[in-house]
Amino acid sequence: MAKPASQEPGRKSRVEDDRELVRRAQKDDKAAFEELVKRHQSRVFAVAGGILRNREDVEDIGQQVFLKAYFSLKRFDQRAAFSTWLYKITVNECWDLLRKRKVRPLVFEAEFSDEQARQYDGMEEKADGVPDVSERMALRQEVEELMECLEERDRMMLVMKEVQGFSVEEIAEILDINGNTVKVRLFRARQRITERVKRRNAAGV
Amino acid sequence: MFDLESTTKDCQKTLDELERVRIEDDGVVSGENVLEELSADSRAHAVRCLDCRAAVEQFAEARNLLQPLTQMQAEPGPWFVTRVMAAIEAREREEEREGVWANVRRLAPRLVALCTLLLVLGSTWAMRVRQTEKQQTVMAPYEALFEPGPGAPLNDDVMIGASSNEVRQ
Repeated sequence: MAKPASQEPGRKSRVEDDRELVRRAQKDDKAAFEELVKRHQSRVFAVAGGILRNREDVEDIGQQVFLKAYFSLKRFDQRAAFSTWLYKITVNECWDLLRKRKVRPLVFEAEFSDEQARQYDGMEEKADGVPDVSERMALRQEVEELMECLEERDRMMLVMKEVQGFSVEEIAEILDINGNTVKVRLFRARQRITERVKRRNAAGV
Repeated sequence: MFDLESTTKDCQKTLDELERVRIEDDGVVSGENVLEELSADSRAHAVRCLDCRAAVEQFAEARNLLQPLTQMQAEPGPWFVTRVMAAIEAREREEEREGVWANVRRLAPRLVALCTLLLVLGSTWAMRVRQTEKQQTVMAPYEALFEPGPGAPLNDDVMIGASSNEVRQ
């Protein structure tokens, strides 16, 4: 699972490495940028995946994010960490896509490519007791349906916090909002989905 | 339901700590597990305060609900980096090509203005030349009466020729 930078050991040195790579990439060193892509691709996918849910969209947005980062890199002044800047781009690109479509994708059939389904099948063979792909997808669909009661932004915050492991401070920086606002919205989002579960259970759904 | 507006300092501290709790265990967690992650003060407060206790339970429940999503996060394919770098190079080539056309496009208004000016000047000159020729052809019949035709000897030549004949005789 991709963890945010703040959760990993040696974050400081990693940020410093990123700074050096960014400096080199700003001087048109493509190998340095390639290294940055390798380092951050998983997290970009995790963030985009939390918002978009459709595998193909995530791939496209991932590519778009790195293209945008490459062509805007000379304007990046390194006041923020490269990772934060990159996640900001990711979130904005995802929002743009959703805004263009104006609807949230609710169909999950196209969620996984055949290749990825095979990967998960392979995982199942290795780890006994882990639910298979269809069960996982059903579970995921259930969770997504539960989160339907949340505003898109709150849903995204909750996924970033609980699924991708970002801290409140990181979420605040990425989404350009106050840390206290993040806390309050997370608190209310949790309250809302747990209430929903209770109502569902009470109704026997 | 917990009213965030009327929380005490202790409640605030507990909620702040709650947001920092990280449980690495992939399995189901209970409110008790979450409580264990809090500081002794906050834990003691959460046990006493019903609202904070409820917040702890909600935290655990929400975390358990979202757990299936952690196992299904999208991962980049093995060729993703290659694809990104190829896309960057393609875009750079395109921008280079567009750079030439951009210069052409930038100069286009000036080129159009220059061509228009040349066209106007050229057509004005051509019209003047034509008008002059026309005037000359209109005047030609009258003047032709008094002017020798092409190839005709000048009067002076005739006179000189006649006088030289007389001298020879």
